[in-house]
Formats: sequence, C-alpha cells, structure tokens
Amino acid sequence: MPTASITLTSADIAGDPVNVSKTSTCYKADSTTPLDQTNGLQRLILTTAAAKEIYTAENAAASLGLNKAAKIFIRNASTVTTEYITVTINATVIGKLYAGQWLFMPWSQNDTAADIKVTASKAGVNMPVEHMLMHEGYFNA
Amino acid sequence: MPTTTATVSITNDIASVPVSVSASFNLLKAGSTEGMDEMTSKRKVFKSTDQVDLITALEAPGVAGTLDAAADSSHNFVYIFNASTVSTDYITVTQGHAAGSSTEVIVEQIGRLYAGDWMFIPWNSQVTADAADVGDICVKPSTANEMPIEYVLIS
Repeated sequence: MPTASITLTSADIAGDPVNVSKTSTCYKADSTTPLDQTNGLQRLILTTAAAKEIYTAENAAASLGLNKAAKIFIRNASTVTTEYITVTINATVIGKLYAGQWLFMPWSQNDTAADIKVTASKAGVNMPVEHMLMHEGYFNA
Repeated sequence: MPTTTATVSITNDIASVPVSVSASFNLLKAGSTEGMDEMTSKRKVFKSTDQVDLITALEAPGVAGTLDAAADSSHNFVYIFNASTVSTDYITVTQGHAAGSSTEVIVEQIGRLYAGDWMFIPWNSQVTADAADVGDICVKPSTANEMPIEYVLIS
C-alpha cells in the first residue's frame, strides 16, 4: 500500500525538543482501499520564470478527480539557497519552496481551474523540480 | 540559531515497479541560511461543520498586519494532521476566511485530509488589499462529531 511518513524534529526551536512523527496510508476518499493510480516520480528543469503546469485538474465529473483523493509531492531540487519555486493552485499561491524544500499535500481538484503550477524565481537558470502524484478517479486523456 | 528538520519518506507501490522517495531539509528563513525560529503547535477539537480559521494570515511573522509586500516575504511551513480515527471523517483544507460573524470565503480549496492523513506545505500567508485576511489556512470538518486536529506552524 502507498504510504507517506513525516518526521519533524528540532532540539532547540523551543525549550523542549520537538519530535513529530506520522505515517499515513494513502487511501481513496471515504474508503480504506489504497490509491491505485500514479504518475510516478518525475523530474523537470525550469529554465524560464513562466508558470509551468504540472498537474491538470480533472473536475468535470465525480468519476474523474472531483473531490477524489489525490496526494502530491513536490520538491525543489536546486542547491542554490536563494532559488525558489512558487507553487500555486489555480491562481492562488500556496507558498514557496526554496532549494531542497518539499511539500506533501492533498488535492481535491474541486475548482474549475485547480491546476497545480510551479514557477521558478528567475529565468536563465536550470532549476530542477521533482514531483509525484498518487490518485484515484479517471483522467480524460 | 535553531535547527528544525523535516523529512519525508514516501513508498509508492501502486505500479508494478515501486518508487521510494526520501527527502530532508532544514527549515530556513526565506533565501537565507538562518534557521526558522518561531513555532506554534496546537491540538483543537472541532464539533461543527463550519469553516474555521486554523491559522490566520496575520499570525504569521513578516506580514506585519498589512499587505502583499510584507506578506510576500513571509515564508512559513504548516503541518496539519487529522487525528480522527473514523476513516470517513475528513477536513477540507482551504485558503480563505472563516464564516465567523461574516461571510465564509474560500479563495482556493487545497484538499481533504481524512482520518490519519497529514500534510506539510509552505505558506506565504498572503493578505490582499481588497479582501483583508483571506489568506488564512481554514478547515471545514465533514461532520459535527468531535474531530481532533493537530497543527504546527513554523516561521
């Protein structure tokens, strides 16, 4: 079964150590059946500062992506500290991932344009981005 | 300077050739090598299907209570965990604003966290001039039964 684990640790951000550790199995919505589709791990190189769509929302019907379970992993694989990518859903900025940083989040695809896009902080550099989607539902194409 | 480390391990055995991903990084302030040094962690139990603010944009350091220029430089990470044990219980996580005494605003829905699910995202805590405070991280429980939610904000 597909699983995702996180550990969040710090010995000194507070007076006592912080240690968060969770593992979840990636199930379909309202179900204990594991997700059964994936795009696998992909890697792309951003060379411009234009938004690059990495996942297209399939929200036309419930049999597609609408309110289905989907999990997205994105990592900025750059090694240059000041380089970042901006992650957006539709036109809404979720946040920035600087070099080496990653996110893992659900994706409901409920909006008519809830595509996932990444935008490099500057053009003219080769900024590697890694991403993976695990999901249910069906794609139009 | 505090050192806080986030590590993810994903096992994707959906396809016939499994993929494993493991990645780790230290949480640094935007574009710097200085560690993030502020943290909030809470556990809340919700008992309503109202959309509520889990973290308001104005809580995030760097926003200074005002507009985009400051918010744009605000770099935070948010961890959210649905601690329910009922597999069909979920929260819908959005960027927007709580219903509260005014109108519920959903700028964008991110996704649903079912019982036992977690998420970890960067968050700009963006506040806009024409609709102040709509960059909140909001949750909307699927049921009015008790639903425990845990979160950590690191800035």
